Amino acid sequence: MSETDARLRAEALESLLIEKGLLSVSQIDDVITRYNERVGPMNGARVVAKAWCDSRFKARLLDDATSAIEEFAFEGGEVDKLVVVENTADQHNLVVCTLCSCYPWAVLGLPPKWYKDPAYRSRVVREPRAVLAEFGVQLPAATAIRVWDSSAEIRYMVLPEQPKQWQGKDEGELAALVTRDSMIGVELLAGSAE
Amino acid sequence: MTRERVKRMHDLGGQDGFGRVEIDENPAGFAERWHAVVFSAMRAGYKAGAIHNSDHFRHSIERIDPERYVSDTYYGRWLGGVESLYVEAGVLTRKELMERCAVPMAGLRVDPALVGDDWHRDDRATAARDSNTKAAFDVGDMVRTRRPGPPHGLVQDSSEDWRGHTRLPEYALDKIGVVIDRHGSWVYPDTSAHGLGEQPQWLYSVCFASDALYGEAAEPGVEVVLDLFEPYLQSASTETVDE
Repeated sequence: MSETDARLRAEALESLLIEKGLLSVSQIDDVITRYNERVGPMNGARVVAKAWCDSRFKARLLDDATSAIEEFAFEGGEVDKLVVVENTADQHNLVVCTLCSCYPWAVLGLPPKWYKDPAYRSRVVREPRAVLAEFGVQLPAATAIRVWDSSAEIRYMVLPEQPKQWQGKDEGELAALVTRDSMIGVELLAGSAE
Repeated sequence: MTRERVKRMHDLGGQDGFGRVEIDENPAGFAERWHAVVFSAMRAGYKAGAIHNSDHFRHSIERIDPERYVSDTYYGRWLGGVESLYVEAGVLTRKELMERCAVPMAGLRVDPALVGDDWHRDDRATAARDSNTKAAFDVGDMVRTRRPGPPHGLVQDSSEDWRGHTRLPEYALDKIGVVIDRHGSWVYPDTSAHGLGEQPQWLYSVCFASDALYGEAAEPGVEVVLDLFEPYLQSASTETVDE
């Protein structure tokens, strides 16, 4: 189905659902505002920055992320249970959903296109080092890799390693620097492995 | 004649032939308005009684024609699933959808007051359930994955032909791993997707060494963790680890 065909079909569905009183334009507008402005990786970045600045919060986050993030009161469904896994020089974690595209919406928003495409979903559970290289991440052979395939309702987020040169920055400054891809596990912040 | 295993196109893990990852500079949120329309139509489907639960929805996408599955975009696949579910529930007809496709959208904006605006609050209910059974496995146990076959109550030719919804990917089938976490009981997708009830099952995180999955083709120093329901697992504690 071409993009144009898909758009026309989506609009046909929209107009029928509106006629039948099952959907409204304002609801669609709300969904757009919500996921374009409020529910996105800036939420996960706040969690990461807090974990870097507050070791007790970090311990709680790694022990039980679902409870630890309650204080942020993020909106956005799709997270029945959140597990946060920590990247270190010795252990690198990355996240995928090979069966569909499960993703921790409440902390990272909607997934990027590549996360949903067959190339990433098929290859990252088989050759994560090769896939990471395509993202510009070269890990030392001694770094163990763990790939988390989100095959049930548990959602995973990566706690990236804090670059040494970011020591001394405050939580707000750090939150602005943490990227979506680092929380999926396909980016090292400021090349932090080197 | 040997029966060829039915291909589950959505079950992509470990497959060859999809090339490099095309990294897009995709901004946060929806790239196109129609993506949000499809997303909203999915949400509205719950209220309209067309979508029963997330497993039911996922299975509608898995039933899309295999060639279309890989050639279509993510929201194109969602659209196919959502349309099917509205039609199957009798909320819309295929004829209505076909006819409306040819008609431009003009003049169809209705008063938002006609539709409740409270739907953000009814975000998907949790799929976690209390357990009233004892878990079969502990953290540290060795397990081998198995296909449990069609859930009781569904008529199928044979378990090899079973094309129903399941969350055990092919690449991790009949492999040995170790339980690293236990997550309590959850709605069982294999029955929930088909209207056969929640039948909650224990859920485990199972860690597989990459060479247990792919043999010599594995990259060194790699593990893959999957979250697997108890019916997908049998004890492997008496088996030798190296296959």
